[in-house]
Amino acid sequence: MARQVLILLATHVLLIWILQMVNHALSPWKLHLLLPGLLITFAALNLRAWPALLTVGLTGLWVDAAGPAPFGVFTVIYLLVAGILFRLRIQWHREQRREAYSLCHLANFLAVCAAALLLGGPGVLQGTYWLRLAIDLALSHLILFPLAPWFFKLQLRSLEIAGVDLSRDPDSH
Amino acid sequence: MAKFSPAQAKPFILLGVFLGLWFVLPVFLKNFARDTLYEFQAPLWTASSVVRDLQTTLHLRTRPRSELVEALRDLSRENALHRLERGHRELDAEYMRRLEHLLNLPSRPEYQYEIARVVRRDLNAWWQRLTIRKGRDYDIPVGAAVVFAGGVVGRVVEVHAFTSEVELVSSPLFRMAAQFEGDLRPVTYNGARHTQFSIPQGRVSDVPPDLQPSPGRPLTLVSSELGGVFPAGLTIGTIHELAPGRDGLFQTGPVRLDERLLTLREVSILIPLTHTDAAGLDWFNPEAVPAEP
Repeated sequence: MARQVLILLATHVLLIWILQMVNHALSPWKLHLLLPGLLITFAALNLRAWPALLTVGLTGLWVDAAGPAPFGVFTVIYLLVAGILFRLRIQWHREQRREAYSLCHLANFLAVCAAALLLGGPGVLQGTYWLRLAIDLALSHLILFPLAPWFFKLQLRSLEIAGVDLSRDPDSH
Repeated sequence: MAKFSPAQAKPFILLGVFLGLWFVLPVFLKNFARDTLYEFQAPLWTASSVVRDLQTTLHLRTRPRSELVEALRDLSRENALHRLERGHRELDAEYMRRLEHLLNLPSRPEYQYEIARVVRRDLNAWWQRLTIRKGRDYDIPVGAAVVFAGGVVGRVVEVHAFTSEVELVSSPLFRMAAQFEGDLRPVTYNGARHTQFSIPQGRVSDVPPDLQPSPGRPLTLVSSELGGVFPAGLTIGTIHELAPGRDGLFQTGPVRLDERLLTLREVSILIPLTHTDAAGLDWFNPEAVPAEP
């Protein structure tokens, strides 16, 4: 279990770092990629409840530490969305990758909307706030189309290299 | 509709347990966890910043020597001009010091300029922040003013071992005392949200009704010494329109900020040489008792 968690956490840290660099470069265009779906979906769909939540929870704390939001907000949002995906995964089969990508889009949308409502403050009543978020979210979902397959493959290969075989885990699916 | 089995409820039970533990966890433990995770991430940001600097250096090395000679020539001309201006400024400063002494005025706060590279720009709909490559290792104080060639950048809100976080002047969480150029009456400045289609913006309130910008002559908003953080006269932005506020007594309006705020690579932190003002109040520790005269 510890190996699964550590490897997935390492891939999440890598993705967060890359995203921070991309967002730094995108700042002159006032664009910001929001991709929490990628940090939640794979663990929620492929691991048992406890390691999945541990991975997602630690990733949430990592994201929380880098921003000024109250510490724990993103952790709770990620865990909640992971719980919803866990509930949905009974209707999903590991071979049906398209559904995994659709769930990734759903997780991304839910997590960003929850963060928008929790962190918006008085801004949730302003049109500019929602317009800015809508543009960022639309761009993020466009980027998710090519990024999700690559990232899930990267996570799967990393686990394989470390000798973790998810198909042998009877409770993970 | 699938049946809701206890196994599927497990994540929600674990989430409930986590939330329960989170609420009873002492604040110092949360702060410790946050600081630790932050310090783990900071070297990654610094590394990417160093790589960017290296890229720039390598790119500059590919330039032809003739271009370098031209740049050096331009720089030496600018240096000569700056040396001349510095001489004038020193004369003015000496004149002001004599006047202050004659009129028995309280001494003005003096600052040390600390140049820092921008490691990360985190500008989203929720907050607008910069991470800079200097922290406790350079004695950066929390609350210090951050400026650039175009005026106010923001304020240091968090100081870590080797990095600091700066709240940008365009952030909705930013607020400061300001005044108009040539008018000493104080007004309030707030950062404001802006979309992808507009330039960085803020909002000014408590503006006296006799001040009115015209289309060809916008008003310039500058920093005020009243807040105790920024020296007076640093440009914040320009105001092209003002409208009556809710109270009907004062005006309010949008402030257009410098677009270079979105592409900052280097900033200056103003470290006060003395944290106390003429009244003995410590601006970086307001709870401290004023020193006896």
